[in-house]
Amino acid sequence: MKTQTKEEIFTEAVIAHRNIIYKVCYMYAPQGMIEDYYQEVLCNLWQNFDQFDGRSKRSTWIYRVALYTCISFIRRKRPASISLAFDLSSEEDAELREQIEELHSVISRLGHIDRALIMLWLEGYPYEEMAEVTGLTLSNVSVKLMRAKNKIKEMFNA
Amino acid sequence: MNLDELKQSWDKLSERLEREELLRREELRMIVESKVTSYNNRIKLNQYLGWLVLVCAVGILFVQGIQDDPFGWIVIGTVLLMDAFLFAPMYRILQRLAKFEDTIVEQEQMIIRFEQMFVRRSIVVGCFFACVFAYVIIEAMARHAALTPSWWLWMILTIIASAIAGGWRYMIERERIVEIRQRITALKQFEE
Repeated sequence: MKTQTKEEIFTEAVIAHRNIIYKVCYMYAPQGMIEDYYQEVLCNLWQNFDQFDGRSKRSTWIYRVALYTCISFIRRKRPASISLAFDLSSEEDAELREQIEELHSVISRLGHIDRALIMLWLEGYPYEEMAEVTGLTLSNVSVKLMRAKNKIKEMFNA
Repeated sequence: MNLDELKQSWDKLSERLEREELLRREELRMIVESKVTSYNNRIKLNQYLGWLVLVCAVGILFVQGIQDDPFGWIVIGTVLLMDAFLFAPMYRILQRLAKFEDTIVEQEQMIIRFEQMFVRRSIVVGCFFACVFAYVIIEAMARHAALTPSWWLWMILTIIASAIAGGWRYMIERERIVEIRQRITALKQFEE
């Protein structure tokens, strides 16, 4: 049986979770900078790939690196060299585009940590995994998530 | 929109992304195989290059006899102090940020600290170069016009130059300053 190289394992892992990375970048990146954020996440994943010890799920680890990278992204002048193929400009996608823009406008008004918790909740992560990704305690996750949801409700009511 | 609708929109985005070939394997291979590195690593590289340039510059200045000029010592000392107090803490934060070992709150605190240091550094460095520029101009004027500038003229011009440079840097970094304030407020609210 052929043994997979580190590069192949990495490629498979990232391809399997590329959408998670995109969603995190989409919610944190300013307009027109998703590719920059995405590339930075990929670089950090590759550079830290050896540190993944298998104690948590790979998706949890990827989510953690993606979130932390986006939170600590530092502005730069050099643009990314990758291009992501995701286009919602056609007529058929008009409704979806509107919904996604509304989703973005709501979530992007939250602070960086509230945003992370809401995204993990939307993704359907249990509290234990949310705690693992964020490093917060379980009770903290539940309290802070409740507060983040209340903030969103207030936005809707305003 | 309510929370359920928000979740529906999220699920629709997820479904739609599943249908796309968002990232091509070739592009991923390019990241892996090429020399594309994370921004943190590039900053670290810049730090080492900066030290190399500084060492070379000091060496050249010594060859040219800077040790006889007290102002030269002030410039070298100030640059070294700036590196020790303004740059080194920033690099330490970057190294820690890149490990992804802290909690999300600590990560946010560190990046806020980094951004604050960045703005301060930018303003201080701007002021420093303005001072050097003012000094050089006065020296040149004195040499050509055979003037002996008094210390207070030097002080006034330096303060004006520093104020202009500091204000100019502040204007450039204004957007970043507003963002830092927003992040600090959000973090305080989160921690309450």
